Amino acid sequence: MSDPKQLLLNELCQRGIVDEPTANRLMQHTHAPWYVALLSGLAAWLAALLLIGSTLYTIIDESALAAAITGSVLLGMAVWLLRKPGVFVSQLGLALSMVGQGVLLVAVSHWDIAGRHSEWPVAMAAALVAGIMWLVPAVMLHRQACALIAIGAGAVFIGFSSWLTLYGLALAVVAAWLWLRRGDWAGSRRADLWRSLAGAATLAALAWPIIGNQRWGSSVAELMGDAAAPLLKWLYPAGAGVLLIVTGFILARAQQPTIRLGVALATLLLIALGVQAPGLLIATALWLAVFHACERFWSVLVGIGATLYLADLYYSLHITLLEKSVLLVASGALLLVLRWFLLRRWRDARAS
Amino acid sequence: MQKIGKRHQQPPLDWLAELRSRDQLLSWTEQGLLTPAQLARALAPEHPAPTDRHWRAALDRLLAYYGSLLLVLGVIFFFAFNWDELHRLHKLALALVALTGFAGAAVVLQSGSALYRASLFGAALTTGGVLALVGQIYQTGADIWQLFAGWAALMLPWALISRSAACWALFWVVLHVALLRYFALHPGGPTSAQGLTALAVADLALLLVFEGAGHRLCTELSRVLPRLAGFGLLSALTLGGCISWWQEGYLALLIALALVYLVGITVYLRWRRDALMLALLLYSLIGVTASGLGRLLDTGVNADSFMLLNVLGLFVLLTSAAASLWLHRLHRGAQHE
Repeated sequence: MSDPKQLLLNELCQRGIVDEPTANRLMQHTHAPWYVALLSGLAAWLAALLLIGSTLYTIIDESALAAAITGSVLLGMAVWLLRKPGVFVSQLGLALSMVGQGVLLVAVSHWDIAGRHSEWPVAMAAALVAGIMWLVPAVMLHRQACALIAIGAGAVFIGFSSWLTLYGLALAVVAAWLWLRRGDWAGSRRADLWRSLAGAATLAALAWPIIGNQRWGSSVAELMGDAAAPLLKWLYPAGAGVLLIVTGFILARAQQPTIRLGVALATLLLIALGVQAPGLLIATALWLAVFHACERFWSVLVGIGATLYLADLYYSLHITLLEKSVLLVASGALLLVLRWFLLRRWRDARAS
Repeated sequence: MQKIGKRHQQPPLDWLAELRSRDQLLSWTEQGLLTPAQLARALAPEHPAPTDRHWRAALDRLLAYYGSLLLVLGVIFFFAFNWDELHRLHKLALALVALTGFAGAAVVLQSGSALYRASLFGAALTTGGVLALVGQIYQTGADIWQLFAGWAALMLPWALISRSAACWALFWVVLHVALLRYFALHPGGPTSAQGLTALAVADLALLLVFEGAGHRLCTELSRVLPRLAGFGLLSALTLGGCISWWQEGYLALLIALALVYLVGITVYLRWRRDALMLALLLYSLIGVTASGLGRLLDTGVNADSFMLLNVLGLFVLLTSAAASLWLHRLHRGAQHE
């Protein structure tokens, strides 16, 4: 009986927090381990593509109506499958939902409502359909995928401008806020929705500095004569800094004044160093929020996101490698000093 | 109450188990299986959020590893800048100072502590930087695979001393890059029968070492390292096995894969229960069998593409559904045992 979940349930039973039937129900309500979900998900996707792909190609051809009907049927099947128990069935439902949403967008694209192959009707339709599917009771992965599609559609709707950086910042704020409040919304009826939104916003916020900020978000926008570009170029790192300091402040509220002061000082220094690498500030704020939510999986994922950002930083051209080198060495030294300071203060506090 | 909420005199990684319990309780509450009142009672007198001891344990490791990583990357970025005005001997001296700094820090730090392991991880990373710098300064003409092979060999002592999973994972990555780059220079590339055989042999050797002496090589009691090696072994053999239905030169890989299935499933089911390894073995089997079925339908039965895709889709659907059901049952069974 070394399984942590079983041990936890035994403890809850012994303390009279849950009765035995509830404990059995909780034990039955076991999610598949992540690797089974991943591998069966890949298999379900492959099977769905093989089975549906060739058939769809024959049915849809160039007809928008056929595409709309097929997409709706696929979404209907997905909703039915997503409500069934079982790892594979839910993964198949997820695959059908994604294919169905894609086919519906093909129909909207064929209709070309706004004329001249405008992107916004497709983006609006994607956000609408993904939003509706997000509300359908389903596995977490489906809800997160739908939330991500809606977020992506929002980005397309905003268009190719520097306002996207503000959108990315807003996503980071939403993600951090949701994780920081997990203990409050965990018991609410919409907890599944909040959790999926937190996950999707975290992924998008992590990806934003990598794919957006220093590339088309600022430099290209400037080239295109975007008037807001010079302002928003600074708004993103400034916003990332504010997010980090607010997150740090919320988490350090209960600490001793000396620890609060030390953390505030280190955060300000980190912000000063990270102005040219705002992705690090965003990742730090998100990691703190995710760890506060006790989410081990997302803690690891945010760590991976930060490492990927560092790899991307090597190739970005906004500052020289020498400047980046100084920035990284100083940030690394700062983290080590902060570690020494925190451990020492905590040890002293425990001793007294 | 004391177990979930407050634990004293805990082993080093108990804080992770506590976090997992808190996450589990929050997940049950989110799914409506526990009420907020039950959640509060389960965690009383604490709250769902991590306490000081959790933060202390997490920040101890995180700040040590990320601090070291940023320092090393700063050094690497500096040498990549290739500052002309700095004499080559000064550059080399700087790199060696960084390497000595990390190694020296490990000498004075408490053996086995997070910072000790992070310092040796930094030394392992800096070793690669020093080798790259030597190649840059002296234009040795060495191919990139030689750099990575040298790096893998020279970082081995750091990994052995540190007994850290991060160091061993880095060794695994560097070794694979060396092998992939080496076979990229040969006809057929890394996916040639020789390339896949070399990768499989390397991963098999690592798997045996990690399974046999894992507790001596790594202080952490996780199964990350054998799983990493197992993933590498099965990836190489599965790719070879899939190609073997179409090209005779890969037949030996298919036979080796069959042996791995026989031994692997027995070992990880009976003697060392590991559902992740079993999942990898089963889905590899599905992939290789689907490839064989595709070959049979394509050349044996001369099926048209519509039938081929549908039969293959159905096969993948049914077999993977059965595999996921069995694995899920195994997982549940392990929880009840």
